[in-house]
Amino acid sequence: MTDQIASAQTLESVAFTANELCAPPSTSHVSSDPISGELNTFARQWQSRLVTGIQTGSASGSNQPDSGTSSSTSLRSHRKPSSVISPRELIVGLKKWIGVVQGVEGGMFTAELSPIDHEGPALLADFDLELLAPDDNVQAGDVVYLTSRYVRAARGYSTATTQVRLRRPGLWTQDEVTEIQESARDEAQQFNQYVD
Amino acid sequence: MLTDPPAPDVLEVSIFGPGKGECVLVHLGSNRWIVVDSCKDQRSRQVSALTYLDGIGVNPAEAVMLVVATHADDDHFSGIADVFERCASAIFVCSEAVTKEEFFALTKADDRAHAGLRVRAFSEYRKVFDIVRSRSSSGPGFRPLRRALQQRSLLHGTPADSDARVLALSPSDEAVSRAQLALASALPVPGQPRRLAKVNPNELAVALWVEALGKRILLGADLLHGPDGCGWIAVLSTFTPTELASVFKVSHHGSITGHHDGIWQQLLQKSPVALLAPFRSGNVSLPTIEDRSRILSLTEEAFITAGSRMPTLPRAARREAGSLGPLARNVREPWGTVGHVRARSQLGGDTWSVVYQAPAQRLSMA
Repeated sequence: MTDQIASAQTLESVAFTANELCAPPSTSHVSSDPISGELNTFARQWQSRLVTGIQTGSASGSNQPDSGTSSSTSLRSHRKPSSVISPRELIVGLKKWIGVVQGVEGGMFTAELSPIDHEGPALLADFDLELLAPDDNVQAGDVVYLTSRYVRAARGYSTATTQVRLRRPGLWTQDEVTEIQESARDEAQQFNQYVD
Repeated sequence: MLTDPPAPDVLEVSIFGPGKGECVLVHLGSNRWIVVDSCKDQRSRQVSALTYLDGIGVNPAEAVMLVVATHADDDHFSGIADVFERCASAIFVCSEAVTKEEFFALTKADDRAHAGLRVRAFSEYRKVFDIVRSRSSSGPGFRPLRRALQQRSLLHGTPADSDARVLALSPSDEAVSRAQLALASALPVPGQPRRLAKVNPNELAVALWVEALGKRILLGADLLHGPDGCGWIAVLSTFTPTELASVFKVSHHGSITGHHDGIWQQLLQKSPVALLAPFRSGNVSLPTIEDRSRILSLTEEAFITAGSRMPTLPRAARREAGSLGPLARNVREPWGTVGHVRARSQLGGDTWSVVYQAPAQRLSMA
């Protein structure tokens, strides 16, 4: 699939030093050690894949307008990797999900999350609206991204950083709306011949 | 899994759910079937109707007369394009409202709102429309699409027409108009943000009356109580059966919003077999305890395809949930395992034999 937000990146390119990691923004959460056994397992898996350099991102290929995501992105994937990579302070895992907002209620929004760079089940989860930028005005039908990064820090400690971003695919243009209406009218007429 | 096919003189109603969606299969006799809505197991990715028909040795390509999409809500149509694809000789029945310009425009906007991503609200319908188009071009005179509107007979022209009757009880003209307005309100507006249309007007729902092998079945879809001129109010004001139904697929997952006393007084026999599937994806799970109490006060023969409570996360989902991090709260997988309730009755018999497969169960207050 094409993902405009995730630009092409290999695991080598996400192997930043700890100094390159920005301070976590309001949309991110950093959890400290001890991490769960499952997370350790996951991190080990990614660490082993890191050696083989498996590509985890996909190249952008869409021509659709996209005005970006919430401004609170903490880690930009186009950033150049450091020339000095500490083997003890690496991003050892990266997982991404795409979520379709199902509803907004009580200061929370509910999203149906599907993995976009790995196999896994779809899940529903609630998120605090404050995780998004104040002007995001999230509504049902919007799309969000959730990214989890796992960083193996010094002395073997690990941290996990998660981030929620609203996808901003831009605004409808008059030309698009007109074209949609006209083609819908044509299709409705065309389907009359298929109706018994 | 239930693997024994019905005899030619046995009427069957099977309900599957929730998975993602809800599905009803009806055997009209003589290996003639209709499929109403669809559900897909989110763990196995199997489409329940097809899995069941395959399991009992029925070829959907020959045996299914109609595939009915009662309304455009993904808790009812997940996998329905796969069903229609396999049911090569079936006619696809949809609400009159979804063949209107407004719905086509919504599906087109749906394609473009987040172009390049897999997320869609109406992808199943786009696939169905593509199949309709391809089948129409394959043979002259074959029209694979039928619009459901109140009092419209749906089986005509099929091999089952002489033995059985499937009548659309809804939507009414008024409901179609209201649904069109609701769909139009979700159309893209210049200068407004692109987003997927999250509109699912239950006004357009197709409730069905089925007669076969001397018995009658009422399939309530997600039809709501009203308002005036719509829903069950409209059905009850325009339809009076000569004989009452003995099986009811309870409308709208047992919710009070789909209840009307007149359904039970004017359309159903006393203590009918009631079948329903729960709804667990929203903030309120259905049926509620009040809904269960009401249904059980109307019939003791009520069955549900799964419990209303949120299912426990399986191991793979727990692992995935752990990866989401602490920002994600109340992580859940509401679809769970698909349950199956099957009711059968032989020609000339007065009773229904009901069997069910876990997590299906008798409806209770628990």
